[in-house]
This record gives sequence, C-alpha cells and structure tokens, in this order.
Amino acid sequence: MNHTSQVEETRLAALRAYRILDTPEEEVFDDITRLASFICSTPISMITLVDEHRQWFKSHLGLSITETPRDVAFCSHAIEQTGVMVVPDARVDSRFADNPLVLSEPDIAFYAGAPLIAPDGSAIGTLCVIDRVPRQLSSQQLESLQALSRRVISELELRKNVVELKRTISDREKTEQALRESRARSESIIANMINGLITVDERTIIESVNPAAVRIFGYQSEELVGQQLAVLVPGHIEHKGEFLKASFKKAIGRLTEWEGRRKNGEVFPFDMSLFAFETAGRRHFAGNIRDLTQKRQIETMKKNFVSTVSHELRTPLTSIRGSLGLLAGGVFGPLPDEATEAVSLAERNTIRLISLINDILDFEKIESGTVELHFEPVLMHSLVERSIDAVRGVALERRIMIDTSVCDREVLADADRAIQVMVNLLSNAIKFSEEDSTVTVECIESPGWVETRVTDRGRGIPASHRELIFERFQQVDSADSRKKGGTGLGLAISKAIIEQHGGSIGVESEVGKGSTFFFRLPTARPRTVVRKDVVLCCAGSTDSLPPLLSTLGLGTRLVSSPSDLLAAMSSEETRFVVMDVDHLGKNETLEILGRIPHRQSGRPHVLLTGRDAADVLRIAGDQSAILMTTVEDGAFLESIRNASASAQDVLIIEDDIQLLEVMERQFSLWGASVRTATGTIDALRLTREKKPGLIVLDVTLSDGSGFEVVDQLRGDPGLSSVPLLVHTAHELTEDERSRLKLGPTRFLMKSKSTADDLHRVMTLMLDEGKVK
Amino acid sequence: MKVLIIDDEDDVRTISHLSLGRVGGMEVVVASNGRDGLEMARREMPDLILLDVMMPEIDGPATLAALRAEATTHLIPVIFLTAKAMTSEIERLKALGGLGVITKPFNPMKLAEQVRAIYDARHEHS
Repeated sequence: MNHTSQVEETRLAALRAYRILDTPEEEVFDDITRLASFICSTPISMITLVDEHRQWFKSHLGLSITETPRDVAFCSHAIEQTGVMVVPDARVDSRFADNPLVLSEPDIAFYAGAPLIAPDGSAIGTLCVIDRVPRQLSSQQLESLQALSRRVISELELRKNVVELKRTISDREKTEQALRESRARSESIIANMINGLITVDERTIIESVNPAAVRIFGYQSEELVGQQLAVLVPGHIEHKGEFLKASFKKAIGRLTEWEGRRKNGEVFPFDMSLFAFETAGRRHFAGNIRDLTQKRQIETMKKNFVSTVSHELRTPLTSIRGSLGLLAGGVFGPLPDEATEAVSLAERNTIRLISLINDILDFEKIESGTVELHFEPVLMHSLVERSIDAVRGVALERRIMIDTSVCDREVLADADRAIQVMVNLLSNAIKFSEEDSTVTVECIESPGWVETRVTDRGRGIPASHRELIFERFQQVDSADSRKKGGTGLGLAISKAIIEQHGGSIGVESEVGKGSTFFFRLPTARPRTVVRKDVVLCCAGSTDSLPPLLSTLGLGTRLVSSPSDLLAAMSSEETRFVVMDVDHLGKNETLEILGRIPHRQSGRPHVLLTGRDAADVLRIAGDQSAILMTTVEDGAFLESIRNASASAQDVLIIEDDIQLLEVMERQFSLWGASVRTATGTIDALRLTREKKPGLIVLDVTLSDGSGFEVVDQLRGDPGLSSVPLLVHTAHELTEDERSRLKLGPTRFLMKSKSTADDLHRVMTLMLDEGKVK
Repeated sequence: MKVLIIDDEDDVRTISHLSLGRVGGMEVVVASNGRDGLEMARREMPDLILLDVMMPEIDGPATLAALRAEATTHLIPVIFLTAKAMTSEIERLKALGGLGVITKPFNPMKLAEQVRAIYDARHEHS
C-alpha cells in the first residue's frame, strides 16, 4: 500500500467513525450552512462528506440534490488542501470549466470550501459556499468559513464521544452483568457442592466455608471465619498452624487424608484436595473436603463381611460334619455299604466346603493386608524341612520321593506363612505327580534373594494357563478340584503371601514333562541382627518411661546398677539408653559414657535426663549419639521417635509427579518414612533439614539435574556419606556414574527394575546404613 | 474323666456330647449358657470344661473369668471351642487362660482324642 492510499484509508476510517453518512438532515448542521451562506452572501451552502465514490451532503442549503459522484466534486479538490479552496470563476478555471455542475444545473460559477479536519488530521469533507455568479470572499468571510468548518467537526466529535460513552457504559453494564452471573453461578456451585470447601490465608486462618463444610464440621460459618484452621484439625492446635502450613505445602495438588474434629468433639477422617491461588498478590489455599466417615464404615462392613459370613457358616457346618462323621465312624452301629458310601461322600464334601470357607477367609485377609505378617530371619532350610514334614504322609501314600538340596541362607519371612506356601506347592506337586516318581526341592541363592523351586514330573501346565492358575478358582482342569481335592485358592493365597513378603512367585512348565513352581523371598542379611527396639533405662526418674515408650511400640528394660547397664548395652537389641543423671551421679554417668561398647549395630543412642544432664553433656563433649532431654518433656518422645525413624527416612527426588506419588506410596507401605522433592532446591533443603537414611535420586529434575544435588551434598561433610540410590531412565556412562557417587551408591534403571527391586534395594541400603 | 460342655448351640452340643461320650467314653454333663455352666461346674466339679466362645449374655471369656473368680472352680482347666480359626484369635484365647483351643467344625471322631491330648499336656504348659 503506497502512502497516498494509506492516507486515504485513514481518512475513510475517520469518516466512518462518525457514522454520519446517509443520516437524515439535522437542524444543527442546517444552522451552520445557513450561517455560512449568510456570512458569505451566497445562495448555496453545503456540508459535504467525501467517501470512496461520492460526496454526500449532510446539509444542502439552496440545492436539492443530496450527493454527486466524487469525480465531479469540487470538494474532492478542497479536501486535498489545508486552507480554504477558493474558485472565483469555475467557467474559466481549467480544472472545472468542463464540469457538468458548471455547464448545467446548478451552474456553479463561484466555489469556496473549507476542509473538515478531524482531530487526526484527516480531511473528511468540506463546508462550502457556492454562487452562480463569479465573486471573491473577504478575509473575514474566509476566516468565518473556517471557524464554521471547525464547528462541524466539533459537533461530529461530540456525537461520536456521546456514542462511545454510551457504548462504554453499556459494555460495562454487560461486563457487570456477566460478572454478577458468573459470581452467582460460582456461589451456587460452591453452596450446593456435596464436598466441603474451605479457604484459608497463608497463616491458615479460615476465610470462607461453604454450607457443606458447615454441615461436615457442625460449626456455623461465623464461628469459623477468622479462626485458625487447626480448630478443625486436632493434633495441630499446639503448633499454632505451623505444622499445618508445612503440611499444606506438601499437600498442594494432591489428595491427602486428614483427621478432622467436629464441633461436638467427634474425630473423623476426611480427604482433601488442596490448591493454592492468589488474589491481589496474597496467597490463599482452598481445600475440597470429603467426609470419609461413611466410606470407612462401609469398608469396615465389607472387611468384616467375609469373616462374619464364614463364621456364620461354620456353626451349621459343625453340626453337619459332626453328624456325618459320627455316622461314618459307626457310632450308631454299622451302616449298609451303600449308606456308608453316601455318608462318606457327604462328609468329604462337607470337609471340602469347610476348607473352601477357610481358604476364602484366608485369602481375603492376606490380600486386604488385614493379617499382620511377622517377619524374622529364618533359615530357608528349616522352612523346607518343616514343610516336607507336613506333607510326608501324603507323599508316602502315593509313594513319592522328595529330594532336597540344603540351603543354609536366612530369609526374611513370616515362617508360618512361608511354610503355608511351601506346603501348598509341595502338595500340588505330589498331587500331580505319577506314583513312584520324585519331587525335587532346590534353593538358588542370588544377591538379596533365595529362590525356592519345587519340581514335579507330572503332566505339566499348558502355556495358556500359567498366568491364570495364580488367580482365584482357576484350575487347569475343572475336574481337578473334585478328583484331586483342593479349593482352587491355594496358589492365589500363596501368591498373596509371597507378594506381602515383597517377593515373587511363578511357574515354568513343559506339557507332559512336569512343572516347576518357584518363589523368591528376600534374604535376611546374615550380619544384621533384627533388633527389637529395646530401650534401656537406668532406674530413677525414668520409671515412668515404659508405658510411655510402649506407645511407640518400644520395649523397655529397667536396670538398676551401672554394671548391669553396661552389660545390657552390649546387647545388639538395645537401641536406646536412657540415663537419669541425678540418680546415677555425674561422675558415674561420665564413666559409663566413656565405656559405651562398640557393637556390630553401632552404639546405642543415649538420652540423658535430670537436672545435671546439661553439665554432663558439656563435659562429655560432642558425642553425636548423646541427646539431652527431660523425661517429662513431650520432646522426649519426639527425640526417641526421631532417632528411631531416622534410619528409615527416605528422601525421594523425582520430577515426574505421578511417579513420585506412586513411589511415595510404595516406600511408605514398605515402612519407610518418606519425604519428597521434585527439584534440586527442595532436595537440598530437605536433606539439610534432616539427614535422610537413604536418598532416591532421579537424574533429570524440574530445575536442574541430579548431578547438581550430588555435587552440593558432596561438599557438605555431614551429608557426603548418605546412602544414595540413583533411579534413572537413562543409561549412564562410567564417568557419569562416578560423578553420581555419594555414600554407598547403587544404580537402578527405571525401565529394567520392578517395584520388587526397589523394595529389595531400599531394605538392603537402609540395613547397611543401620549397621554402619 | 468328667467333662462339662457349655455351648448355646443345641446341635453343636449334641454332636460334642456324642463325640466325647459315645466316641471318647467320657462322662459328659452339658449347659446351654454361661450362667447354667457356672452352676453346673460348682455342682458337678468336672475334670475339664469345653467352653464355647461366642454365647449371648455371658460369653466364653466372661464365663472363664467367673470360674477363675470362684475358689471352688478356679482350678478347673478350660478348653475353648471357637468358630474363629484365626491365629490371632487362638493366641488371644490362650492368653486369657484357656488350656487349649479347638476350632469348629471339629472332627467328631477325634474330638475326644484332641481334648485328652490337651488335658494330658497341661502340666507342660503350666
């Protein structure tokens, strides 16, 4: 677009902005032309506006036409000048001599036009005066004409402003209306939400509650607004919201579970999804709250349902089985042969029904995790021996040899449950073996695991069934349960048990040749003594400790003399020692502190209490295992708890939020206390806040890389020895691996490792940490 | 050997009566609730009580506590009979002072054997 056409575009835009073209005549403008005509003593005066093709007259005094084509218009010329264009005699002017407006009606001879200049400088038309005889205008007349032309523009401007003002007002009204509607909509949603919604400010002071929240907590909204949120979340009141604030930061964007307290004092579970938002530069939190009371009741009912049903079934079954058993046992005299057969058939099936009920209940309990497993190091060999003892009778009956190889490794297992699995696999193997054949049991050790394999020489399992058989009620041949006995739950139960151990179970088979069932259990590290967390106390004001400590699940032994104390301290079981300095005396205490035995599991944590504890601590110097505390103080339990938990504290640094959540859940399930970070800054802060027992580190992070985290921690003498598990999606070069070394360091590839591997390595590394 | 069976379920009581009496050759007396059971224990002074756990009003553990609270009955050994087969439940009942626990449904031909085995082993336990 060249300059001229650009100017023309602007001009036309300015003209259109006035929205004046083709509007009716108006007195205001007619007055101006009348005035112009009067001042200049001409019979004709017009206000012309020039658009692309024509000039249009807003006012035309002394002339009847309302527009003419642009190419014959005098005004087209006038608008290209800045001042007034005067044509004294058009008939002799070369520009206009052949103009139809000159040659015929309205027979223009004289023309004077003042351009109408809009504020942006565009000439949109003219105010002109015309005569049929040639003439001139005085300078006063010219000036007046120009003044009047400005009046035209101001009138047009005025109208435009009014229109714009009206539009602005109406826009604002519309916006306000829309705002009102949107607000009404939000309010109505919030008011009718089934979930509670509570917003708090940065200090967790309640700012608003919706009706559902009012219903859930039983307070009126006025009672809550302005209060500390801690009134609704018991257990946090004493922290004046500090703890809440910290928890909130962790909970943002997740669904977290809390315990709430209603106005009537009832404590109840709720879950909350929390998000943060800002208004006018201030940060707020909003929690979307669901009362879980009912859900929990239903869960409990569900949980109890199976056990209730099975219990209810047992009572009538006792009578049925009893009667049949007595009949079959000939208690009421001998039965005819057919009756014996029928009665024993009924008895057999009753017994099968009972085992079904037992297995269903067992499976349900193990799978739901309601049964607690007691893990302890146990010799694999003894598990195998005890299991074989249990099936020896059946094996003898079918003349089946059981061949075993000895395994002297210890596994970490619930012995009864592991034997249950073993017996199940053995009796299956015996059941499906040909008579006079051999069942082989062998154990294969690999780092961290013992794999036990039970091999039969039976008919084998088709590939299509190998996964299925570990599901409930899935037998290879549906006739098996009748012919061979069994409930169809044995393998499902075994799988559930082994998975609760963090292990795995599977089968290899060749049809016609036999099957090998195997399961893997984690090894107990031979040098790790699994310690019951015993706290040792030297009598004195520490007498009130045992009940207190049992709330932490810690056992307590009280000893009365320093020699007993020292002897007991050398036991690997003792994790904590509490000494009452006032009772022992300062010197005696110092003496004992100097003689704390070194053990495989490291020195016990020592806690000193009493008035002189501070003195002793000062003299004893900086022995990191010594903590000073007073028993009465709530901080005492806290220090024990911290000391006890530190070894299990895992910091997971991972930028994939979803993976992080999954890992957090898993590690918590495995008994670790978990902290999480997605970036280097948080990771370093958390590590420095409290030294973790293990860091699990991803290499790519939200704001940097794992390399930076390791670099920083290496520079910190207190933290350079923290065990590190690098958990990454990338293959690492030797060089990269060496740059990622911290304390004891291991590497796991995300794609190649399973949850089992993670669990195993976690246990291993935390164990190593403890032994150190 | 005289055994007192305390069980609120008539049918189960019939079976255990037959199992201990007809099969096991024991002398059997029965009661259908904890209150009658206590009365019977005082009067009959049995060598052993087979006590059902879940009973209305005075349940098995409460009956045991009442037996232990009385000078005349406090030494009579008690075996619990329960329909809950969980290890934790069995541990709990033993901890309450039961000499042993037999789970329902039991084998009627072997109940007497089981009872006698537990009874004979009592000195090893205490």
